[in-house]
Amino acid sequence: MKRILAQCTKELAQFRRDRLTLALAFILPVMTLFIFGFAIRLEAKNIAIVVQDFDRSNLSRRYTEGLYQTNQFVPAQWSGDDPMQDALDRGIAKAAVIIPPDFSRGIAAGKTSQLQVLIDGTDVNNARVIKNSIQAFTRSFLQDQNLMSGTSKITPRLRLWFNPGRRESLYIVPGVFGVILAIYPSLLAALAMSREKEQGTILQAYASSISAAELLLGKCLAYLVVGIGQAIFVIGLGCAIFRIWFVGDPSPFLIGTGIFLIASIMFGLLIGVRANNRSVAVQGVATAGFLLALLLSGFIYPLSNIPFPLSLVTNIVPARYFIEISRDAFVRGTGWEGVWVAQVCLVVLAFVLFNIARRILGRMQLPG
Amino acid sequence: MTQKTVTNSQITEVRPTDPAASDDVIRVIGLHKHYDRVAAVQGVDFSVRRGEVFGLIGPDGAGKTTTFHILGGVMEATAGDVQVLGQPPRDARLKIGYLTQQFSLYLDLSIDENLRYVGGLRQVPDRQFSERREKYLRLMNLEKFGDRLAGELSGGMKQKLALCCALVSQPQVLLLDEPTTGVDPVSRREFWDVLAALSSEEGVTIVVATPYLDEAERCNRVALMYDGQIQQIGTPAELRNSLGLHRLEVHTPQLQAAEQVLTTLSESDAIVDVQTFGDRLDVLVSDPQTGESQVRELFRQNHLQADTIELAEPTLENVFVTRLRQQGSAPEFFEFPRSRGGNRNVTTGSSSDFAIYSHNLNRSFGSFRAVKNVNVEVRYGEIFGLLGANGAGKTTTIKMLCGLLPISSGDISLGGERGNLRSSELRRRIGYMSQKFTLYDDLTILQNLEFYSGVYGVPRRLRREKIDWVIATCGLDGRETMLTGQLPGGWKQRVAFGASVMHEPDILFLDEPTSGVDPLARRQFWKLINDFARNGTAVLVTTHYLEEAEQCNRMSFMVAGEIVTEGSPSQIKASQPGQLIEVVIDQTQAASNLLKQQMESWRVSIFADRLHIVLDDPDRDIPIVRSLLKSANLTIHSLRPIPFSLEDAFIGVVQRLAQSATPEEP
Amino acid sequence: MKLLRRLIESRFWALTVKEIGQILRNKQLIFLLVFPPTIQLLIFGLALNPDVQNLKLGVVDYSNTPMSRELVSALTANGVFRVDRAPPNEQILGEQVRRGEIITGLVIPPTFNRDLKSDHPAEVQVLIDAVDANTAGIASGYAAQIINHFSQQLAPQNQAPIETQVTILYNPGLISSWFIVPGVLGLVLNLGSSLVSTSAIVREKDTGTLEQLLMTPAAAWEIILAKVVPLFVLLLGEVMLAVTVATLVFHVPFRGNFFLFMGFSGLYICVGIGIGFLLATVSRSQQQAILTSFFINLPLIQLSGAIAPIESMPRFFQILSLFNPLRHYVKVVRGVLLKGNGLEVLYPEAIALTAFAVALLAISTYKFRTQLS
Repeated sequence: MKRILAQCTKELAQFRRDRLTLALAFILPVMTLFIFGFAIRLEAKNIAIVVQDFDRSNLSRRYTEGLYQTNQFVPAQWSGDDPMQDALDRGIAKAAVIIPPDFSRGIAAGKTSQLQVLIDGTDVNNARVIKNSIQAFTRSFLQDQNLMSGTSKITPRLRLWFNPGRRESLYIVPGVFGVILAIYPSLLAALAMSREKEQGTILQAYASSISAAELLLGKCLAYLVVGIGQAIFVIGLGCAIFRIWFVGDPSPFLIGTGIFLIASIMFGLLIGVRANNRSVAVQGVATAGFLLALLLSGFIYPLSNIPFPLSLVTNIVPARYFIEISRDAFVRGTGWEGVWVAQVCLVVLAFVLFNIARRILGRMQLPG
Repeated sequence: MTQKTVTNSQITEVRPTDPAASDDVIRVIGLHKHYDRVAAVQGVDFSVRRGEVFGLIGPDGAGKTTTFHILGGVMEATAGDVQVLGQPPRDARLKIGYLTQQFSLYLDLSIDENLRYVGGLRQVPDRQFSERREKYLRLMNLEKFGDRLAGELSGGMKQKLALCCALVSQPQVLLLDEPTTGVDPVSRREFWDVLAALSSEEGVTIVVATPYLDEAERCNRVALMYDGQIQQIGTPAELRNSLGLHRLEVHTPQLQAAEQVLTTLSESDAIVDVQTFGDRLDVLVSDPQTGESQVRELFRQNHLQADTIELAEPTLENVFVTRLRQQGSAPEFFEFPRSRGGNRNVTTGSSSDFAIYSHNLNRSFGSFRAVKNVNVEVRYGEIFGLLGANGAGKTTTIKMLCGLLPISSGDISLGGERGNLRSSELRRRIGYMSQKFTLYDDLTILQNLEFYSGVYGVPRRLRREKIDWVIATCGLDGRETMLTGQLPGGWKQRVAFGASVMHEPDILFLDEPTSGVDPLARRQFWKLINDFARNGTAVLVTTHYLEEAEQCNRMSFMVAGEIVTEGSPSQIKASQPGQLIEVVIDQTQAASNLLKQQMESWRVSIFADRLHIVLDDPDRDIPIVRSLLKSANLTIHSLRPIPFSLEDAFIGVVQRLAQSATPEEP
Repeated sequence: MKLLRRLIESRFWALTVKEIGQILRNKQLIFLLVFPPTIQLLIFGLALNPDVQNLKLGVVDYSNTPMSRELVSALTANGVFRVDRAPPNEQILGEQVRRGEIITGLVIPPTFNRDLKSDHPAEVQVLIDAVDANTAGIASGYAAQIINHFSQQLAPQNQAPIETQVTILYNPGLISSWFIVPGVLGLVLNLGSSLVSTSAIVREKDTGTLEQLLMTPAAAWEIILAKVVPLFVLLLGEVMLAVTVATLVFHVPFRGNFFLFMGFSGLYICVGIGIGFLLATVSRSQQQAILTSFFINLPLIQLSGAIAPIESMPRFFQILSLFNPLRHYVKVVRGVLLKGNGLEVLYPEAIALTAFAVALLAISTYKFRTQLS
């Protein structure tokens, strides 16, 4: 215990000394919070579209105006006569609606008019959103204009739970907490570990009788303190800026944060133990950490979308469990009964990572 | 042949499995260590007794550090039995204090934080910790700097702090791997005084590796290691005697010519080795009488003048050099293939006469004045030494002189150029070897040399010849395609030197070229430097090996950014007040302790088995010293005045300066 | 011939040969240029999938008639929804949604069949877990559409007077990797070029060889150019590797001109190397360089549109992203690969990237040179 504390005190003293790292330890997470929190929006608003109205009737004009009134579409500034070549190819507009010359005449004659919609499929998600929106608008347009004879036989009553306004920040921000706390504490831990190897100071630890477990725990404890600082700072700021707050019992989140921090620090230490210098360690954390926490944690798109062999990997990504806990705390609010499994998984992962790192450090000796 | 038998008898003297030898603190039998294909240590046996100071000396790459790693329990041996305090080293780690070659400290932690960390790691109880912390910091004169960062300490203070860290757990065994490399002479002496006190007063067993052979003289026993094996073990006296040779100190004004004559013209095998050593020649002879007459004869034949020829005991350095010569590992000297025929185009004018010139040079970093009003004047063909402790401002001065660092104020002229020191034409005329290794570790030796010859614009047809010269000089024939990173530090320095002179510079800057280089290679370095100077190159060299600084034509001592003394070596030594007295006495340590109570401690230092004492007024002080020692029942075997060495002069200057800065103690 | 001989004699040649020697020796560098990009492309391409399908659906069918079962099978017909469970009542369904066991819930009232037969409109309840706002939005759109379609089929005389004919261009199958992979290609190139060039300089600084280099007659531009040329070639290789993975593994189409694409990539490599050199000259040690590269690369990547579309960002970030060279390169990659754009469309990007490359390389050379003196 004494050795663990000695190790921990030393780490903190070094951390405090290194002004630049200290500053970046808080600036980088905040920057990440801002960029991810504000800039990751999956659903486009104000999509630029082109409407080519060959009909030029009252009805077609009403249709066009109505389309823009949904607040989802804005008219694109374009010139030319082929919307595909002149607007979509150039990326000026994301979709084009072409109203045929006999649009209103056809409807008046009781025939079905063909409305042509071209959508830029480059951004797959938004192509889908655009398609849905235009179809839904067309349907409601028909009803508003009383063009549908008779009422619909079945009315779906849609209820959106937990997030009725579909605020994307409510989904993204609790996830951002997970990404930040997965990357930065582990980055610092990996730097601290690999630096000792790079500079050779690790020999001092080897030459004393401190065990691998004690060394790791000492460093972990120090960076847990730092990590808790980062967590309070980032989560507090995130809650204030994005106006989110706990919707139920906050205790699973608070405890989960602690366990998650330990898991990510252990991950960082593991990488630091493997790497022989700081540059390799940071590459490791940046590549592995970012890929895992960003892509295989369900942060952006649902986990269920990840195809089979890769989906197995998600099970060993700590961030995945923490994001589950975090979203529950800020959006869903089921409390312990909903997230205890995730908590257990985090404990198991932290323990496994610790053991692997300990195994690699081995007998605390120089390699032969 | 005789040496061979001596070696064997020395090794068998070790008592490997004698159960009665209970005071063997360290016992090593048949130690082997292989890294992949390379055998670093191959069959080493030795044992160290309690309270002994045991020295490990040998050239770079002899396997000393590997041996320390294994003794310290941080590395597994490939084969062999190693016992420290009757346990495998790994289990004895808490009783071992281990100073690794570099970086045993956290430079971004303060002195106290470093100590506390080690105390915690080694589970020192709090009360004892603060006791020892105070005791050892006081012993090392560090008690005032508790909250200073380790990175801000001078090299000497760093090593003393590292020693403190090793001592807080009160180890019974201290392992010190080149603890004084990069440490200035003053701190070096203090460091060794502390070691002597630890072993004699606290019974700590000390194993120490050192490239300084004057330090090895202070060990109780010394093992000479070469190529992963111990060649010889014994007390310094035994080692010296085993050589079966005698040393003649020849003082002559024509050192260079005399050395030339003695090495090349000696026909009989009476003269074994000749070496310039400061202002004298050390000549090793197998028989003192015939040797001396031979030397005199040769001098006469060549119209050389010999002031005095004195008979003396061989030094450990003589042993080291001779033994390694016998191993055939002495680097050979090859003539540099000059394509320009030396630097003949030196113009004579006013200040452009000087190759390197500075007047009132200043440099500050923030509020810290690193260099204060430094004047330097170096002519072509001159070797100029800039001496001083780490952190005295030598490197900063060099960097300003060669245009790497902007100056705060002052005048500089380099190679006749005053304004633009960074022009390509000027730099082509300059050679620069910086303190850190300046070769690319990830390139082969050959690639490095090809690169430097190419980038300095050595014409392609001449490159081959020059590269071959560097490789031959470094003794690396057949190993040119080896990765530079795999070379031991000292070898890298040699290649780096070669790389920096291939283009035959007019001006050569050498910043600590011989730091970490073994004595043999150091000799070769100076031979080469002298050769370049003779051909008209201006050489500015920094060093803290003061003994090699004797080779400079002129030099300046720097202390805290200022030049405190300048002149030729003999001028500097002659300007020292007082007299240096050498005393041979029974118990050197006890005598030293006694005398230090009576006079300032820097005046007394232990040199192997004798004491050096600086007395300001010998006529008055010698009787006092005699009676003082006699009253303590210490028998004086001999007491004689000897000339100051440069190191003595340096220490005297620094200490007198420190004294005048602080009011004298009552 | 004479020119060649002069080149071989020159300092620049010596510097370049040295750089190549170091690169060839540096296993880590080669690894860095091959392994992470491939892995990143694969994982990004496979894992970042916005498809909305197989959403777990819980059905409480109080009506339990052929008609209600038909509605359920209509919902699951195109694979968007998948019936996961059928809880006995609304309360349990709600509980399951709350626990996140199912994403959507459908409640068909007992009066469903009766209502359909009468003129009274039948009302079904659809619950959607909207924690994931994006998925919920698309799912609710689908649900409404399917149910409407179903109800229209019940009354075939009600032919809708407007029919929307939707054509998806460039990526008709809406294959998500076609969007992600070209973006990640830009990301990978950005990371590769900036990291590799940073380490090329920082390593010299850290080992002290830079000081030695500065004492040689070589000029700053010679030192920098000798570093740029081999890295440039190496990074072009990385681009080829990435394009190969994109086309072979993900079958991303390559509709535009290959040489145009390589030209743009070369331009971006210069930008990346410029960023890397700038980082290296600004930072004092390797650790600083690494941390500041985080500081720079993270916003570059996130504000490039490689992962999340720029159009959906707040206005401020959209404007900010115009100053992001990666944004322009990502647009070029998507344009050339998916749309087959030529220079007549991409000339603004060409101008922007050239400006970035020139500015960055000029600044870093200048900074490098001032640092030396």
